[in-house]
Amino acid sequence: MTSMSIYPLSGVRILDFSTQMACPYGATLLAFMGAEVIKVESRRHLDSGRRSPGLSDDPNFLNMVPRFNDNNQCKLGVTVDLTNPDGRDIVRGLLRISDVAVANMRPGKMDKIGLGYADMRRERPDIIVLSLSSMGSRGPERQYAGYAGIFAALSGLSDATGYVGGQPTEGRATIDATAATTVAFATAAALFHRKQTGEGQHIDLSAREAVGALLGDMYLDYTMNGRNPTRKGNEDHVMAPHNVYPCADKDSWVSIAVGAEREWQAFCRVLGRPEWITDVKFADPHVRWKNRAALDSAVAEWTRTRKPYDVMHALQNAGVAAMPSMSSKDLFTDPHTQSRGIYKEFQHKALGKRTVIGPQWKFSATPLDTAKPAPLFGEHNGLVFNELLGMSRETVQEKEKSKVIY
Amino acid sequence: MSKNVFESVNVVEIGELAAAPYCGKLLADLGADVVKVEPPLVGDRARSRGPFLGDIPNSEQSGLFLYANTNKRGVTLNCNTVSGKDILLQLLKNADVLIEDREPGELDKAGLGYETLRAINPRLIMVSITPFGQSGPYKNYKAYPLNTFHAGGEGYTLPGGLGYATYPDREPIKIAGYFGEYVAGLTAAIAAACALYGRDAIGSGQHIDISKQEALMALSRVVLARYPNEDFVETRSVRELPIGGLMPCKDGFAVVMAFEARMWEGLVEIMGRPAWTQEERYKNAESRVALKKEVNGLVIEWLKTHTKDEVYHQAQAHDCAVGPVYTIGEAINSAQTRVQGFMADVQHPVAGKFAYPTAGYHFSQTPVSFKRPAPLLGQHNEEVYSGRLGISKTEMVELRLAGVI
Repeated sequence: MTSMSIYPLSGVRILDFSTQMACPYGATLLAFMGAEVIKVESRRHLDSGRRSPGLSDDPNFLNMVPRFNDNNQCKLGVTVDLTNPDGRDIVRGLLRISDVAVANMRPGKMDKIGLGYADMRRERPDIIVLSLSSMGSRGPERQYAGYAGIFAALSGLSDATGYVGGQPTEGRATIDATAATTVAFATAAALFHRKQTGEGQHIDLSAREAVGALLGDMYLDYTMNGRNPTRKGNEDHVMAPHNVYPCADKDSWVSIAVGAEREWQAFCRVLGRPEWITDVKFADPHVRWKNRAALDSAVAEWTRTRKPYDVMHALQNAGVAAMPSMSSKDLFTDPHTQSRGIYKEFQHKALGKRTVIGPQWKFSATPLDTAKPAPLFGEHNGLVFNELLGMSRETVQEKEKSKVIY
Repeated sequence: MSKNVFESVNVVEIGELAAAPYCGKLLADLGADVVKVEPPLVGDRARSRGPFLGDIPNSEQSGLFLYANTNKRGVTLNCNTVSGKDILLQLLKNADVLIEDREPGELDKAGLGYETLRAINPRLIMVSITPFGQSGPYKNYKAYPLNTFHAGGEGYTLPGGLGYATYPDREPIKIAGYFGEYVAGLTAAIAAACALYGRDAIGSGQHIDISKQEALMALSRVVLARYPNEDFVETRSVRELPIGGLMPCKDGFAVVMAFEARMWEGLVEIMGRPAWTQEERYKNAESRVALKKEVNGLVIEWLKTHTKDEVYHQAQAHDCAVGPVYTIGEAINSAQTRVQGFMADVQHPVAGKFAYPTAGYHFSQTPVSFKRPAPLLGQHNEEVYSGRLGISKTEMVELRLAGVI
């Protein structure tokens, strides 16, 4: 970036060949950390993240999709046709001046067009190449297509999530973002390794496994005890109350969890039910848990006439864990998130004023004031091709005409 | 021979349950030397949470603890004593990273705040992981994983689809297990790796403030940004795919994603091109979405005569994204998981040997490996206190009797 500030990944250049959500957003996380990320795209292999139902592929529309902006903040954008030999020449030039390349084409596809790990290494011997796929690059299912819903289902996450006795739950963009977060960690680790040793490497990342790793204790329940964890809604296996309770307004809810005995006693007092403290049905954690259905209905009776924030304040003031189940509106208008400054606002050249969620880390020595809009389609062709690669204006124009830069 | 990624990195971890320990584990599994500091006698609370081997509570047989603490060394230390604090400071003098999850202000009060630590070790990277971060009106709010998850944005919209259609009046739920906690740990590990990468150029360590709430909000950034930009609030009732979704089949459930034209074509093909699919209103993508309920009903009718694995492999052969809803056991035992080598055996001196998930990333030069199982409570006291800090045998006895270690 042009700024003079130092960030943790200042000086790192990343080529982002990826599309959709998981991999592009992974690269954005590294851009938040100060890496210069160049998104390489083309009308010939358009990032479907730029498409929206009802909008055509006209370049103007390609800049109008809000979620593309959310997922690709803070990058530079160039357009090169990778299926064209001249286009690949340009990419090879970019590889020579880059540290990392990330892609999420199906395993083998980059190799087929001469841009596999071995090819990239020829241009830059210490390059780090990360390939994200749904299933990983080995195994019988390596060519299978996957979106968040698919890898959430394959990892066991969908099956384990849902009401007691109800159905499994579909995964979505949140799960893509989980794979993205794993992409960012793996890349940062490989960068550190390269700094220590001078050695680059290839990272084969399976989204399905990235999600599975976040269910580790449940995987161990299976390998230790041969048991599949069942769907438990909001229930805990020890604590009660431990649920989400209805509040006064339509579709408004509050989560309450009571652990220690002093929390239970404070809870009973706030609810105006001190008699529960000694009630044989609720007097110790075990009977509370056994009678959790009765307890939940009694708690709901109290919450139902109140607002989530009133419940939160009353219980938190007494040292009891309670938070609204926060909607997008609650989160944006909440005094705490506002004071933390996680929402950022900027002007997007096509969309106008946009509010996004910025970097999710607060660094004391290198504040990450890095939030910027996503690139317009081909926005930085001039900057990258002229200034970084030293191509003349005429050459760039010529390559545009011949749809190499396209 | 390639060295491990974080081989030269010394980490001290003061963390419990899943979030901070998972951050430490991610670094340890890639070679960092992680010393986990636990309170004497009881240890990390994860030791008293299940799942337990054979359902018998035992502080060395908690699946959560065993998983989140691979490759670490473990010591016991009461940091609230003067001698305990002194020992911790000695450990931190040469550490690169401190991972901690104490309530904001707690370490300052104990004389172990970032300013104090920076004075003795300016290169220290301190990663603090708490429910709501180090600042703001809720910083000292109490939150269990349930509360943190529901403060993160995704909880309010769960479950959508079939779960919501069946129970429209029920409460929003959380993702299974400690999902939100692991996400916070992973988010923190990115920060630690990046801070380590940039430390020389930056010229110092730093204090990194991780809010679990923000780690979760970041995952839902697309949905959350729709409120300030479009005044749109997503609820469970609209959290569903334009077409397809999680559907019942012969032996369970499958997720069918057929919104792109070529995927829909693939689905039609494996359904054997039934007559209804050739009707104009179902051929057109837009009217299909408008007739979603009907279309999904027809797909489910067919799906119910097939098993989830049949549909999975047939659909994928036709470029249609279908996924079987696997139990965790099915996920572990699938051919793909086996060939990828996702699970690896770990031998633990008390719990015995069984398979653990490794990681989603497979590094060509520096693969994740399990060199040691999760530590027993206080297992490395001698090694760390005598071996590294030079505390004498007699002093060790005294510290033990005084309840410091």
